[in-house]
Amino acid sequence: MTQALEQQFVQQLEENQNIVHKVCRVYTTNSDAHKDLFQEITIQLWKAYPKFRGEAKFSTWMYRVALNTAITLYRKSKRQIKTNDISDFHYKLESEEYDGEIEEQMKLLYQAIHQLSDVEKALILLYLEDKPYKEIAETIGITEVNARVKVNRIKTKLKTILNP
Amino acid sequence: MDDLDKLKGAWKKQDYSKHKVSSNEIYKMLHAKSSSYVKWIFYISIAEFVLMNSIMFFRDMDKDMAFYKKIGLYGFISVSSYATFAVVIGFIYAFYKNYRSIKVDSNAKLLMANILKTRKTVKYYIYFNVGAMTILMGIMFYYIFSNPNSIALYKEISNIPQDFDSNTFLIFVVVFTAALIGVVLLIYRVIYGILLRRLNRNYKELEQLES
Repeated sequence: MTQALEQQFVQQLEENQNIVHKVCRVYTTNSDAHKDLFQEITIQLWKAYPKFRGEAKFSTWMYRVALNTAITLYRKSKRQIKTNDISDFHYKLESEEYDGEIEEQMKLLYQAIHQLSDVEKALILLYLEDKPYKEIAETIGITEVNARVKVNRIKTKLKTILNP
Repeated sequence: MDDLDKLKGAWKKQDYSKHKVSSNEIYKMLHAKSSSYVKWIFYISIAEFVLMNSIMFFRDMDKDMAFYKKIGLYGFISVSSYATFAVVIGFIYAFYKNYRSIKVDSNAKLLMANILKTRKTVKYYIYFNVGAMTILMGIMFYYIFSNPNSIALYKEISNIPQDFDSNTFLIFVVVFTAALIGVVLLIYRVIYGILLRRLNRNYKELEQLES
């Protein structure tokens, strides 16, 4: 691996790191586990990077590798199992126009997402990221019709959790 | 659903600047050790390949072979050993091929399928070994215990007194062998169960989605 390649990768990851953070936030419940998963995703991205041909957008490719790492490759750390402290990892919303109510709803949304299965988490993450169903289907490896049906079911499920 | 759509905007604007990972930290991460499942699956699989064939290192094979020669089983054991060796090479090749097909940037379902396929190679390898061991032992014990001279020789290499009852000896040998095979299968089931529980669950969920 040349130094130039490493530099190029680090720069691209630094610019797009929000994607990795979002995946980590969905699949972990505390900052230690978040950091662990962030590191594992970075390693997997770097290992796969030399074969990244730029056929897809870097961000699309990142979603795929990051989700695969979170769902399939990542061994949950002991820290993740021991603690389930959602307030451990604070996030804030960029815009000041959002009031406390929305922020509270976001917290509830994350709590609800944490109750979903690994596959459901991936689907809802891509939906919330506004990805087209074609891309969601291709990332997960299911048909577009099934992706649409499943996302709608998860939305209903989330609605029930959010508004019991 | 309005609630969720309303949150979509807020979702996209989440800011992680407080947790921003610097390029220096990213550089460090690139050289950190991975704790990926695939890495563990690879190491455990290699350990299984090695362990299953390491029995010869713990036994005095010359002594064993001399015994097989004396009781007339040498030809059978030799042919079986070569055949088993050829099959093992085949399994290792299939394992390597499947392992190479695991790509972290394939779609989630394909990645899971390829990992499970790789593990299945090892699973069939274990079953093959246990099956072959059972058949070989069965033939060998039948051959030994149907001939008084062979029994005497077998008692001798097993350090068992010649006046020891042959039927009791046969029962002991069969029970011991069965227990050994049972332990191997049990350990294997436990390792396989723990290692692939989550992967199997997620893969099944994706399969159900398509059915």
